[in-house]
Amino acid sequence: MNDLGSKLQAALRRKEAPADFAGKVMARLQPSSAGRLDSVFGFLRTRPVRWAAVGALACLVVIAIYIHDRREEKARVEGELARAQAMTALRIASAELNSTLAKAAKIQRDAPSQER
Amino acid sequence: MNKQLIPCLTAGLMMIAFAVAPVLAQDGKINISNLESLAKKAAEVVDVNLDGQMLELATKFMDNEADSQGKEILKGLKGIYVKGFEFKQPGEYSTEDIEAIRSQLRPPAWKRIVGIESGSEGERVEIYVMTGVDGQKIEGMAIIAAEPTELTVVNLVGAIDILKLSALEGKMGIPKLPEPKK
Repeated sequence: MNDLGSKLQAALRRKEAPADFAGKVMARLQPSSAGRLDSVFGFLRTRPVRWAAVGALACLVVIAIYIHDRREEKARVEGELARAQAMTALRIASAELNSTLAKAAKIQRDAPSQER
Repeated sequence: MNKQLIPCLTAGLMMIAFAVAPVLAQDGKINISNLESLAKKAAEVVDVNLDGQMLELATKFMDNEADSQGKEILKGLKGIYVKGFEFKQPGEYSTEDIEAIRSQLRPPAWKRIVGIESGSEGERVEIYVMTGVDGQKIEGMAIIAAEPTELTVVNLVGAIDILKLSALEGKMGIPKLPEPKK
């Protein structure tokens, strides 16, 4: 019994923690940043996520091409409209100018004959 | 004496500057927006408002040979503004409407080069030009053509070649006018 008691006492005697005990416990509680990144990249490397990323990129490219085409189409329509308006304006200006100059010339020609 | 002369000279120079500044500041563009109210009464309306940017855009789309002469004229222009109205009956516009335009075409900036009035037909056409400082180059043109049932105002801003503009007749879909009867 004494032998058992002394053995128990020895086993249950307070032992001082080693110097680096606290550090080891804290290290286990907070995994390293390198370990965190690895877990994120690991997730991204999975096949479904990769396919989803490729699909999203393809959608963005299609949308960008569509917007670019629409802008070009809009610029083309605006340009054609401006061209048509410019042609109309030049037609009117030229017609009015020539009509007026022709009338002025006719008046000048008729004036001497009227004076007679 | 010198003390009195300097302020007088300064005042005189300032007066000249104030008198000349409006002339120098004008760029051949007149305000024809007052005619917009006539659109409601008109059977047909032509409304063109092309500033320098739009003209540049228009010339980019004038690639074919038929447009080359028009493109040549547009190159020197900074703006084209046209208001044209055709009415079903006479009396839809007033002399005040035209006078508001004409009041902007006064000397010394503007000069009337042609003015024709036909009392029997009630027709009046005027062509005004604005020349540059040298008095040679045309920097603006305004045409006012008023008939009982038609009113057209054209304002061209920028360097204008009247000969080239006149030569457009018969081209670009512009019909050639018949020879006047002798």
